[in-house]
Amino acid sequence: MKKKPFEPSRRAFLGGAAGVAGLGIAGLPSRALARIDAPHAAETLKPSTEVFGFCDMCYWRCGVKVRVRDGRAVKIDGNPEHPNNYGVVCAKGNAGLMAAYDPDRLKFPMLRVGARGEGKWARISWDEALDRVADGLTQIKAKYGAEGLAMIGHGTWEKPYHRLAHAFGTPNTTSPVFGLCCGPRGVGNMLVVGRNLTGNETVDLQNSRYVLMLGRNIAESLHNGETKAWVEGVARGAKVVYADPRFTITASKAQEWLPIRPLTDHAFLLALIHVVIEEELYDRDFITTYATGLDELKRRVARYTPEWAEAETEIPAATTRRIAREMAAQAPAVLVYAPRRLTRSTNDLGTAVAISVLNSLFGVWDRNGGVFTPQGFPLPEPTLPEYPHANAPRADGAGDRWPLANVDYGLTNEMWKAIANQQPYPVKGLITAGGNGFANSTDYATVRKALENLDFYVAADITPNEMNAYADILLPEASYLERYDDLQTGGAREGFVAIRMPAMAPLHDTRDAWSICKGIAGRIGLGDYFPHESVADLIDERLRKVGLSRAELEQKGVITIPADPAKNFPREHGGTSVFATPSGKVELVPSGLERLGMLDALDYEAQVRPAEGEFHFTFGRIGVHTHARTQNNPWLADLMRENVLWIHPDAAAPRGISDGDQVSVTDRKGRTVRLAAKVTKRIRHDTVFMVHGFGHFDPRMTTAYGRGAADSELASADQDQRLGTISMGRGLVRVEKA
Amino acid sequence: MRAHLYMLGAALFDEPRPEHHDALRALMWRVIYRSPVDARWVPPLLEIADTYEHADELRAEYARLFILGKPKVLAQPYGSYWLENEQTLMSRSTAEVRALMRHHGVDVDRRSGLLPDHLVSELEFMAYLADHHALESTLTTQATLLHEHLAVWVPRFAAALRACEPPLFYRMAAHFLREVIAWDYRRVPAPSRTIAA
Repeated sequence: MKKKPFEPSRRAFLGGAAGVAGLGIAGLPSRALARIDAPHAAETLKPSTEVFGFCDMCYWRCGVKVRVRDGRAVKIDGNPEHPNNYGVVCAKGNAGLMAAYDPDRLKFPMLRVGARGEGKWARISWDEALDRVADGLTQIKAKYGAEGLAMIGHGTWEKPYHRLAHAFGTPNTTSPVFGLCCGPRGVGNMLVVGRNLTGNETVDLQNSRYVLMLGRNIAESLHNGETKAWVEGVARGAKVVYADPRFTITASKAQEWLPIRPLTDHAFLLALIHVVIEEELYDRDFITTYATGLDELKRRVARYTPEWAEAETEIPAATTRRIAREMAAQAPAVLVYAPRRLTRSTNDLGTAVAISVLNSLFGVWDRNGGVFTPQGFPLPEPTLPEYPHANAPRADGAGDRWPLANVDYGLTNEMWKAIANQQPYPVKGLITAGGNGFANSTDYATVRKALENLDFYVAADITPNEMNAYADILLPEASYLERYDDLQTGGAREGFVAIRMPAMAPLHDTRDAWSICKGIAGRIGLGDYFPHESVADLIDERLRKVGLSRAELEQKGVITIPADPAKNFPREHGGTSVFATPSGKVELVPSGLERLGMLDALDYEAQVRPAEGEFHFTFGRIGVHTHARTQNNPWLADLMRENVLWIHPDAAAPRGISDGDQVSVTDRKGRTVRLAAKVTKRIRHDTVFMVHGFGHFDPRMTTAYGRGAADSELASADQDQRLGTISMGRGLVRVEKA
Repeated sequence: MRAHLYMLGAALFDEPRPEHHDALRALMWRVIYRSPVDARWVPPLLEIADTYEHADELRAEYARLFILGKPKVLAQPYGSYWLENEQTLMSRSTAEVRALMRHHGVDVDRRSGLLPDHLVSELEFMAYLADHHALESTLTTQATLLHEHLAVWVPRFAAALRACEPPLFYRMAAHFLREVIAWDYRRVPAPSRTIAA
């Protein structure tokens, strides 16, 4: 045995940060502990304090107040002052604590030390991590140009990553929100009325007298403010007609459920438009004053009779006529409420335009019970150097090959393809800020090929997942309870600005997105784009410009501009409506489509029908989970740990399937998932359904791993050929007892 | 002696770094030499004290076992994971440990990236208390930390670690820690006060 002398050199030993603080233990420097100034008296229970924020558990962003005790966030409540929820917080919001306290969290910056995707890592310091990121990005730019980098973000904290990518000079920044979710809806409204009407919709649900909902499962997608307003409207006697192949909780609260054949909403809408025009049920004054294109629209919809639609939708023609008349009788306090995710068919553009047109025919704009004009909260962004001009078009074709696609969000589905196929040019570097390409896309093979193609991939996130397992560098983000973020500004009846304050210091060795991006930018000569010391500094500057301060905002978490009926509903108060279309009018036949040669989007495009033995494959939300983000949350998993396949008893019986049986679901490409069956009459006999976001296959997500099945593995990857968005609803599957 | 035992435990389960290599070996040898001949924590140290070399492989193993597992982290080095029903972090037991630390004028250094009930933090805190054993006030805290925290969860943690097929170094480190805590548990009386569950 070789003997060694004991040489506890303070420099050589543990030498951690605490050594700097001078705490010695038995002659050795501490690694973990530091001396504090004032020892605390032993206390059993300290009073809690409250800080304000906005929730990050879904995309509605409710205002929250977080109770803090002993440096820990211990309870989340709704902020009664916040216009997105007025004090209500849902199960997901309550469970936000577990986003921070999940033991599976990414805790330290990690360096990949094995093969890509192998799962072999080493912990590194932030300095080393950021140095390596800077080096990786520099090499990408040198080899492929700035456009060789893509940035895909999903969440409130993606903003600084977009700034970093723009400053870097790449045009390739994207978020799934357009191509995989709400894109068509926003485009449809922009084309017809020049209003986006996406995000937190400005609809006057509580005063509406009649709401036609096309798969807008408001009671289960559960955006608090929206659901609350809708429930109030129902309580006041509004009629709700709900069209969906599935009898959802929302359907159960409606007066009428229309079990529409999947993918035929457009046919139903065209027939409603047909009746409204033929019977002159539209708001004549509004159309005369504000709209163009009625005659052409009339000509185009002449063939879409309710009888024609019945063959497509299976909604009786008489029902369609009745609904058109009932809505007209209640107009303008009516709404045709679009699905939130409108990426279903190959003509979602046409569906979205038809919704906006029908709303316009009823004259809902700026009227009580219809759609209101929001008040914003003017809050200038900081002055930054101009971004460099990108030297290449976007690799996903947004704004170019797909002229209607939003260039701020791009087409994430097309970006994955571009990286996988290295077309139209090499994209070999990737930054992801949250998100999960496997779970929110529809084509595992393309996403996997893209990730394997990369030269350099840096992922910033809270938890590990299937996508960031491929990263070269993993950057652990602080959760939304541990950080400031940029201000939330809103447009509702009230304009508002809200703050997200840290309820506690970042756990582990995590950092907020702004600090991370500033650290990277400074290392690659882009520090001028991040001039603020911290995101708190950024907030200070933005508020200072409008005469406010962070201290003021932190009193209640939100500052509002009071609702002003004259601004929200000008046509109720002698004012006029403004429509930011090329003509300044409501364009019932949008000039934007004519200019692009896309007027055929206004025509019906038949979708897929299942062959003998097949089913339409559908998926959607549930009130206790958000997308594929929350299945690993221990509290939410207690409420719902795995999804099941809804199947009608008439379809289950011939297959020998009983409730609870394991079934296999196989699409036309041969992709198969297995899960338990829920045999229920609450779904059409030709349709099956599962809740989105389950079937995680990363074992590091210890709560979610292997639970349920992934709809993203089966959803269609077809596209709306005018928008570039995904047609997820076109999947057809067979179901067998496993 | 107890302070060095706990400091060694903390060092063994801290992330391996090349700059700490010599000091860690030196501390292992110090403990070996100063321990009673029949001390049951010595044999596992003898297995690794002479052969311990920092290597990237050990660093990757540390990450696999305790940070970002493959396939998952089975041996979470956090007290609350093992002490609370929900197996989450930053639970009430974490707050209790932190309160104890602050009562004695120390806290986890934010720059370490460790939580108060991380194994390294708790072992260092125990070492700190042992080093200040002359102070009457530390005795109760030592008893509490040992009987209500370390002695409860470290055996569970060590058993989970064994199931991960760790390399020799971590097998022996876990063996060492188990023996130290078992020995100390026998000699430190249980606290008269019990922290409410």
